[in-house]
Amino acid sequence: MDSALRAIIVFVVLWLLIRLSGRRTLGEVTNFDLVLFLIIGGATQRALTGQDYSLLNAFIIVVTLLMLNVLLSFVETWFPRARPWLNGIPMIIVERGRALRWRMRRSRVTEPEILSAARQLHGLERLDQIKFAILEDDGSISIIPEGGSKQDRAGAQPPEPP
Amino acid sequence: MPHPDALSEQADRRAPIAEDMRFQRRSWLIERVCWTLWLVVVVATLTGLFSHGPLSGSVATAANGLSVGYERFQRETRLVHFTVTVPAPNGNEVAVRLNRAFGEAYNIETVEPQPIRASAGRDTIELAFAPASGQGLVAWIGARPRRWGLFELAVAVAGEAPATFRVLIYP
Repeated sequence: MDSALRAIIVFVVLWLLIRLSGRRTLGEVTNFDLVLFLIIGGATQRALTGQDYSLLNAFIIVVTLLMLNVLLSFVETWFPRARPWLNGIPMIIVERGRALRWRMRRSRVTEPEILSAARQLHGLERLDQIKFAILEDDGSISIIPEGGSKQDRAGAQPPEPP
Repeated sequence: MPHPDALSEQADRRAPIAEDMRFQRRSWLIERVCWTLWLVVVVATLTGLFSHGPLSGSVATAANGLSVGYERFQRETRLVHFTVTVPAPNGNEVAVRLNRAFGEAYNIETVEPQPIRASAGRDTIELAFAPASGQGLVAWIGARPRRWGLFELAVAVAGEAPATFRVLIYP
């Protein structure tokens, strides 16, 4: 009994701690996030297995964790109103070239991070080239450039002469 | 007065996404409360509230001078030490008795110095030592908690009043 109970408690507590630490935690894989990811795994591993290293215990733990994952996805599907609490909500942080600094401060997002996302996703160089930058619920930053997306711009190209 | 831009930043936008800044502000508040609680947890840990520290170390004594150094807050599976001191014992042999709760809560792993005799009855564990003549006994017992909960422990020299104390073992 305690194997499944440990797995449930560790999963719920870990999920809750990461959810409450804010979006930027583990949102992007920086060096710090990688260290955190590795250490959290190491710190919780013994709490999961206790002193039972049998195959059956490992199997029970994995099955319990997978079942919890599936359960969470069902909760999101059946109770859409729970989704913001479970995942958070996206938020605009750059609007028509203007950085919304109060929002950025509260979410601990910096301008260099936004510009980095803009460069990587769309090859943009400056804030005024960004129509919208959105902090997604998973902590990543999505960019809508001025003039539309790459696909929009590609679609707007005049047809090749015959 | 808040900056005009700060006011407009708190308003919901409808495009390209539908926002809910009221929910967002509430989330931020909950996060910040939790961060404060976590800071309290770290400080409490450093002071020994969760084992091994100034708040945790304590000594229990009995009327005959027996004293037991122990940690008030312990954690399941984390090795702890009890220091049993018997000043000027009578005779060549000192029998130290641990109550039933010791057996329930701990696996005793090490005892220094080696007892000359160890036995376990229904309600006690008895460890007999032979200290050097005229000298007091100091024994260190290394035990590993195997259950969590609140336990009332007692250590006595055979036939005399015990030193009793409580420990909280965290899961």
